[in-house]
Amino acid sequence: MVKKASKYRKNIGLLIAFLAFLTVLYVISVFLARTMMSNFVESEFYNRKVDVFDASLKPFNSFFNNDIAEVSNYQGYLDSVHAVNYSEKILRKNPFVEDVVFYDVLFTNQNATVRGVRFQNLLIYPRSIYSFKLNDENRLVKERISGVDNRPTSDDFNNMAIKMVNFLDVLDDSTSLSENDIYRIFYNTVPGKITYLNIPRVNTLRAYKSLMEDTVSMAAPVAFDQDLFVYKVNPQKIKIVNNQPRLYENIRIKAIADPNVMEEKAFLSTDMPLAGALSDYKLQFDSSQHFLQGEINRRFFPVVLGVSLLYLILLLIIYLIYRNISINSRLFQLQYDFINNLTHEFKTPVSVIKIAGNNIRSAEKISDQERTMYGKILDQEADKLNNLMNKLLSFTQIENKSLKFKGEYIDLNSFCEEVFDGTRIKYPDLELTYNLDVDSKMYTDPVLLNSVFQNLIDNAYKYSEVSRKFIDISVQQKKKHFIMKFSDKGIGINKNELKNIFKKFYRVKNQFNQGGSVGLGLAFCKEITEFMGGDIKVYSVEGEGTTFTLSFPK
Amino acid sequence: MNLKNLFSVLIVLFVFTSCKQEQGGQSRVPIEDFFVKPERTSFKLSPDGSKVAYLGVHDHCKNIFILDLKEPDSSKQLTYQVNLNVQSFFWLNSQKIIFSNTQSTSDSLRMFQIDVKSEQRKPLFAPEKARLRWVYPIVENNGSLLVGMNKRDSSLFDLYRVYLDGRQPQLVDQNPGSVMSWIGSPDGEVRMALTSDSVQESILYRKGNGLPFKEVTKNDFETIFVPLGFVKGSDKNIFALSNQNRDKMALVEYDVENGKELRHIYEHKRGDLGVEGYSNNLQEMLYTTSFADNYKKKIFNSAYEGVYKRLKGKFSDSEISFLDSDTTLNGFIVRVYSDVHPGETYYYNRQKDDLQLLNEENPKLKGLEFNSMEEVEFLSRDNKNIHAYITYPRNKRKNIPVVVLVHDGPNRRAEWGFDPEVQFLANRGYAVFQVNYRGSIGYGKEFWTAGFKEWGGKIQSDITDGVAWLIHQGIADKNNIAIMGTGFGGYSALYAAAFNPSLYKCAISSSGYSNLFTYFREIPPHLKHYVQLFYRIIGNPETEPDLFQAISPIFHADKVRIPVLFFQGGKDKYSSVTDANQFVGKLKSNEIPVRYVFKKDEGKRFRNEENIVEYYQEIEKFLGQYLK
Repeated sequence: MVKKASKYRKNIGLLIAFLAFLTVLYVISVFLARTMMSNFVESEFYNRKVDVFDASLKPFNSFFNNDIAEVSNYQGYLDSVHAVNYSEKILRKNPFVEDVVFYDVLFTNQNATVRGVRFQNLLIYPRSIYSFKLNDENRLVKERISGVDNRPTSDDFNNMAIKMVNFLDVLDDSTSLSENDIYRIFYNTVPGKITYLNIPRVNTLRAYKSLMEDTVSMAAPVAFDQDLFVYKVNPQKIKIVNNQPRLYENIRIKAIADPNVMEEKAFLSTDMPLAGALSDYKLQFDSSQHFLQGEINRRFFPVVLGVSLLYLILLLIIYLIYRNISINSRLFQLQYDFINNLTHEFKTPVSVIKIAGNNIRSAEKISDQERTMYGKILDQEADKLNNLMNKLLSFTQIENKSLKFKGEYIDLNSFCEEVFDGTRIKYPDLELTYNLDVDSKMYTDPVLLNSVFQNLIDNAYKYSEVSRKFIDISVQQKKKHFIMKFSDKGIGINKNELKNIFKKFYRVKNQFNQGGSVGLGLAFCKEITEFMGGDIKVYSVEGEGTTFTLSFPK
Repeated sequence: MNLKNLFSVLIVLFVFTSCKQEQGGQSRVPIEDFFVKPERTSFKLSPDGSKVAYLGVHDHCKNIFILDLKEPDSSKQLTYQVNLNVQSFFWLNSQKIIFSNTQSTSDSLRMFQIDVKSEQRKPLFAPEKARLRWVYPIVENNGSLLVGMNKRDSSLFDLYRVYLDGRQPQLVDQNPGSVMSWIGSPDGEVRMALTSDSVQESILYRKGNGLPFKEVTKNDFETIFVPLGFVKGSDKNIFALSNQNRDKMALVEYDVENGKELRHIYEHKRGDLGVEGYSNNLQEMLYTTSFADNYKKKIFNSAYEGVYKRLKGKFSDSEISFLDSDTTLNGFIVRVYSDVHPGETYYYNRQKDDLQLLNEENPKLKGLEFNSMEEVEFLSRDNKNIHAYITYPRNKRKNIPVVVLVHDGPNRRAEWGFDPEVQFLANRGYAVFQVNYRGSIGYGKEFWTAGFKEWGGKIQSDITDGVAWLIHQGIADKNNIAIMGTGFGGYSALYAAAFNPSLYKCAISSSGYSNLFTYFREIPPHLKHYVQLFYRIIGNPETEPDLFQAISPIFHADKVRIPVLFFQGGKDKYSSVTDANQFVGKLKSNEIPVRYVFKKDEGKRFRNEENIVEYYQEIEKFLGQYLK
């Protein structure tokens, strides 16, 4: 228990609580998003009808604002011949216009016996009336209508003439035509029909007024041309532009008075009345539940995707935090072990030195043999300590990147011979075989390379049973590399341990290193090799032996 | 204290240099300074040469003022009107002035006579709902004056005798129907009348009042015959400007009894002569002049010649125009002006050789440097010589942004003289190009009639050819050309915006004729004879609506691709607000940048001073934005 408490603290509980909280949040937000989308689509259904309305009525509005007003540009100069061109253009461009009737109107003070509207001295009468329409073959049909026998349609003319006369009656010098006046006076809009009289200049209107009020009638006969058009429109022929096809399954133009009893009511439906000459019709919008479901899902999908992505990212973060905690705890463990080992390593030589020192001090007389023995012991133990220190020091140097590479060309043959000679002296019980196959010199730092060799040979010796102390070293020269192989017949390394053996402070747990090892040797080799631009690999079968392969580029 | 002084000196220096550096050395003259209305106008010398009468402003109204040349202390204001303007006045004799006053153009006619000494005024006759045309020369005969008035029928001017003692005007001759003007003689007889039915013009002649008129000659309407006055001592020979049987208007002596040209006196080979230079008092030609020669005068009278030489010596860079002189040819009122000099009015005494400044037309521009109008000539695509004026901005002659300023009309022309609009544009760094396209008057009969029925045709191609010539000469920066104008000029700008958008960067139209149908409607049907003239000049909208449709910009608003600045006066007769709104509306719906300035109470040209300043501010801003 005491050991556990001293260990690095892992708080998995907190992580789990966080995970649970996140998951709840995720579920709630997905649910909310779904509800909101469904509400949103419903309100869009009611709001977006304006877009469809605008788009569908765009041709009609353009007809009403531009095409009709174009008549005024001619200032009354249109005659039946040129009215044909104009009417044909209108009819072909606007399929919802079924019929155009053209009245070539005269405003005059003459006393002609024609059918018209007379007020005081002003006579307004149609000089000629033409009707234009497209027949079934899409050809323009022109028809002259007699001014005498068209009782039903003469209303259009009479209404406009009376309106005009009323306006002239109140016209005075200060009157100027505002847009509002223009719409009020020169347009006459009833369901299915638009009547339009070309807008004369204000001065011309004053001239009409003076004609009207000039009761002396002495003045010369004067006649002014005006053009009056009647357009019959069929709202059913307006082309519906469904620019919101995802919202509206079905859009129709229906009579406003349609009782609508035969149809089944749609899941959602709304309408929008048309205005002006189209005012007896409305736009009806319907959508079924199934149709709208598709739209809701379509809009819901990206939201849920976003929320899920966020959730996944948070999960990933949780995992990373967990992993970080584990690594930290293992590192802590490693350092703890290292200090333990290091203490052991130091302790043994120090206690030997202490004992030797005690013995020397307490001996009354030291024989030559004893002196030699103690000297040797002290010397050996001091070497051990020194080695240990050196190893630690150079490792720290590598870690701090303060190590310098002192390169020179060396002859590997003689370099190896020297190493092997040393090894033979150091480990007389080690059976060493080698195979050197190099002829060119290698550019490297001999001190560093030597320490790598030393380490690997030390390991081979150390991790072998007493009867199997054997090492085979082969140095070869390939096209681009120098390959050095160190094969022993030692205890081998477990497959699971292989990936850790180059890590700092990692020690394979077995009987051979109980005596003391800091777990730095191989980490040191790897660092040095890579520092010199080389590469180190390991191959091992447990119980049979291990091969380390170094390769350095030429 | 020292530091403060230094600081203020630095500020003054900074302001000074920043003003000076603009426009390459030419200082930027504020808009208001260009368009100042002169405070004193209509200088007129009394017949005895002792006094000068002029219109000045008192209490925001034009009133008559008297400047006594002999006794300066008795100079005074003659009329005191607080809500009426003196419209026009003249010296009846050295004691009396006759004037009319008015509030607006549609006001009734009110004429008064006023004694200069006693300041007593009385109406000449009771106010009439009519218009009056004086019969020249205005001379008192048996206490009466002759006038033309349209009391009986608004389209016909009958001849009346107006009595100075307050009796009712008396009808002398009824207009037989087509007399456009009556021409009197110093003895009070009306021997000549000009008739016109707009397609044909005739000269009528009679020996004396009361006798029937006889038609002497008939001219087609392309021929212009302007009687200037009778030759001294003759009751049938007159001085006249005429282009009968020739291309340009020349000064001739004409026998009106027999309808024969007696003598060809003077002609300028490049352009018509101006209607001036005849003295009613002396009954002789004093001088003649032509715009084509920048109004240099050909003088016949020796007294005038001396004065002209003397003044030309004094003002070598300017031109002199004679406004008035007394009967003894001792006192003169002259105007001195040039294209770079707004002009002053002087009184000049020949005997004393004394020059007295009466009025500066625009004192705010005094001493400033302006840019001269240079006349150029180019060939149109059909090899016609077209005259034009270029006014360069200071210190730049190559690759400059150009404003093509199209004159109104087309029966007008751009001519030499100080034009504030041109100088304003040049001062802002633009070259101003004024084309006298075919149809412009003054360059002869042939050139004028060549513009008939070419409103949307060769007239426009002349302007285009002129611009192409400018580009070819390297004068214009071809990516920075604007077109601008009023009335017909505005029409041309709109036309160019619709049909020639690649040539121009932007267009400015001021009351441009956006719709020629509307333009035609302005001619009331009861003046049918005018309509005939317009059929010739423009076309017939009833038989040729296709032509009208093809050349009226309103039908082609969809084609406009360049920014347009559009001015419209609510009372403009020739283009309607409805058309303007429609045109602008179409441009806006096509997302063409358009700035629309509408002034309800203005006519074709803006008159109100604030509106004028706003007009040019808008132009300055618009050109600044698009011509860079």
